[in-house]
Amino acid sequence: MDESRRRVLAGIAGGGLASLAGCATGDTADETAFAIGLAADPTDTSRYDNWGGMAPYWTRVIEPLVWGTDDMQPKPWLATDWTATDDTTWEFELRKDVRFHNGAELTADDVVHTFEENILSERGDFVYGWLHLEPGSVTKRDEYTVAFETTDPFPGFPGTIAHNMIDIQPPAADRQAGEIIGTGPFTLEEIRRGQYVRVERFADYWGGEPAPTELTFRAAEDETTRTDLLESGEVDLIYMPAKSRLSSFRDRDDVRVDSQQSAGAVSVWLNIYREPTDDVALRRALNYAVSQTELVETVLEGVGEPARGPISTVIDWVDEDELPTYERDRDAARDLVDQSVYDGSELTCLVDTDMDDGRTIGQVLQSSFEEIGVDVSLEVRERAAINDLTDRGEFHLQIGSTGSNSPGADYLMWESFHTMGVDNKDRYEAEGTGLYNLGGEVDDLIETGYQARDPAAKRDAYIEAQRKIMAAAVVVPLFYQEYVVAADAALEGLELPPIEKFAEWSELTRTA
Amino acid sequence: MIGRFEALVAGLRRRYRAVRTSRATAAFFANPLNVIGLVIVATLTIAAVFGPVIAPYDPTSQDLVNRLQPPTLAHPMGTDQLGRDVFSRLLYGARLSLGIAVAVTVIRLVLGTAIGLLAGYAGGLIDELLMRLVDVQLAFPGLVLALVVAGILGPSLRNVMLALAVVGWASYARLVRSSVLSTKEREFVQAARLMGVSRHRIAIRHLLPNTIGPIIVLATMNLGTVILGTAGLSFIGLGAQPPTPEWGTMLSTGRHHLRGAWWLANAPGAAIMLTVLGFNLLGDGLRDVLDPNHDTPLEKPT
Repeated sequence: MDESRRRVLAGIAGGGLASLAGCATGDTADETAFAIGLAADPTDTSRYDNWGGMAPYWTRVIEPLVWGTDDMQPKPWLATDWTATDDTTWEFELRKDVRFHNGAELTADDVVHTFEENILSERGDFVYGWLHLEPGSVTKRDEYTVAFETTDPFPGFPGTIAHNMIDIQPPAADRQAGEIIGTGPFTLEEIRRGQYVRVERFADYWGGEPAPTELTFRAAEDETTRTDLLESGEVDLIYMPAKSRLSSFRDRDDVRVDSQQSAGAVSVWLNIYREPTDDVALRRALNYAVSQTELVETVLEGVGEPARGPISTVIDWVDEDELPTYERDRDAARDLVDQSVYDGSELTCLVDTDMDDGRTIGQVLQSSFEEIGVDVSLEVRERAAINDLTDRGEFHLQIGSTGSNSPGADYLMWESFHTMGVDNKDRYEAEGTGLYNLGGEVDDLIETGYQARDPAAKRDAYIEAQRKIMAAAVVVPLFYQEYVVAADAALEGLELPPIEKFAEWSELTRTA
Repeated sequence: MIGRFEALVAGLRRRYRAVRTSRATAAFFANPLNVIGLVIVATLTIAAVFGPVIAPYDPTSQDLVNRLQPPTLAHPMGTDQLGRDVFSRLLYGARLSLGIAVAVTVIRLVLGTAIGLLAGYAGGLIDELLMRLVDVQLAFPGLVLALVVAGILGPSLRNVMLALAVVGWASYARLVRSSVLSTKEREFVQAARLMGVSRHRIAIRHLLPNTIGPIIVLATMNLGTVILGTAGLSFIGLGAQPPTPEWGTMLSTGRHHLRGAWWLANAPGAAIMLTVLGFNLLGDGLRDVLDPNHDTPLEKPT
């Protein structure tokens, strides 16, 4: 009896050890699987319901016709070439021998289906204005050629559809049910709401078999939690680690920290149609009060580039050397305040609750403005409350940003600074004003840039518009955004494009 | 005039002597935990009153060059992410926290006492209606309801005060009502009624003073929870707006620097913890001496 009991116990112990050994070998076998911590929940159904709750960004399950280069130009992807056959017609040639994850070949029918059924029908009116397309405007020319008829001349069309959300899926896919069939290098395997999205290697990928066998995108919206996940080894890579821990990461050998300037820029936006910020002297004074370099080097821990304009310099039609400069000069600022209509009343500055470092940046600005005798109160609000206040023009300053998830970034100029842009249109139509629109010549320049097919002409027009915007001090530029990636030092093959959501994982490997 | 003043002073002296030599005072001071609570609350009150005089720096004055400095003689609790002196901010924060706690508790107390007194003394339909109102209020989790109210009204300290005040009065109402129900049947109240004393006077002069003891205990305990509630709502961004030196906001900012600048979160965290502990200990002590059913030993606990 004793003997058999010993045998049972020995068996259990042996089994346990074998299980542990199995776990250990499992880790080794997973050298080609990677976990990535994202600052946004990749399973958020309120944002990604069109993809069954899978973020179309980062995951690389689905793909658009056009991709973006590192210098923010459209790059052939599922489409190999495109031509404007007249002012409003674009023809796209599709790549041949591209397979969907269900084995079917990509053809023009899939593109027409995607645009007509998924994009133009399901996503509502905003897509019409964004893509300059309306239902019925996408037609098949032949098996591998598709024509797009834009509502008006739109030279920026190829760059605009270079966007993860403008993805191509076959009619067999049931997007709303989470049955996502793409052409990307990874196939969707599992979505755990609020936790992660898991994808696996697609061996028949048209661009060649990707190196990773599996990628898991973890939801880690809190920066401290995200950073802890990397430190504990639960993920291999995170976006935007906690700034307070960046310097210690940079000193470590087992962690690599990389950063890349993105297509985003943060500025203080001034309501030029409300007293006293309707006075250009006061607006210039506010510009002279701020040191962008100090802001970046201190509270931003060096993450970002001091800005001289409202749009990131990674975009090819931005050249900050052409813009008027406002180096911090408190004496000049105080003189301008004295010359202005400012009477000592309190100005309101809106800050979005969700904005990274918004409160801290707001307090630095508040202190800088106080130094020149301008009293500013910060109002930290939810985005909906901020939209409500800006719609009614009931604010003086707002800390806000511009940014683009596609190389076609013309809309940054149009929507923010043109009188008929989304920020200004309603107030212009209701009261003949707006928020950040100088109107007249600036509107003309933005229209010229928007319609220009020649890159040099576009650049000249937009730079001249930005020069006038900065001369009138419509914004106080703060910094061009950078995104930071912290990863296990053993990771290789990581590329950081200016649009972070274009990250490609195909070359990701782990060294021994 | 001088004679009247002397009489007043003599009266105060007599009362002080009576309090000092009373059994209740002796019982209170016999327990060291009560003394600790009193000392903490007294220190907090002094900090709140004299904070601006004691504080070595302006709590909003930034010094970006000297940000995130660890505690030194110049900055006993270090500096924060904007180079502001944490000790000075803590002192100013004490004034805010205590001020809000007192204001909210007074609002709760007045509202709850009035409703409880009315319900208990009037009885009948009024009592039924008011007590169902109390039931409804107590059915909601206090902080969650405060969160909703603060969320609707928008982030500000004033709105946090309102949110906390409207959710915490029910326990006062219930306490006062039960006390009034038992007191109004006592002989001295019936005697007053027979003598033709008005209902209003009976309520104010005879019933209300008999509820004071439990109310003071509840209010003292409540001060701590209000401070916690204010800090909690500010922590999630519904309370104080920057750069107001509120403890919950300081704690929220400091959590991002826990590894590199531990003092940022720990200083306001310790302040909140000590304050709540102080009010709870003081409340326990007051309950021991004010509760007529509680037999307080004079000897120190072993």
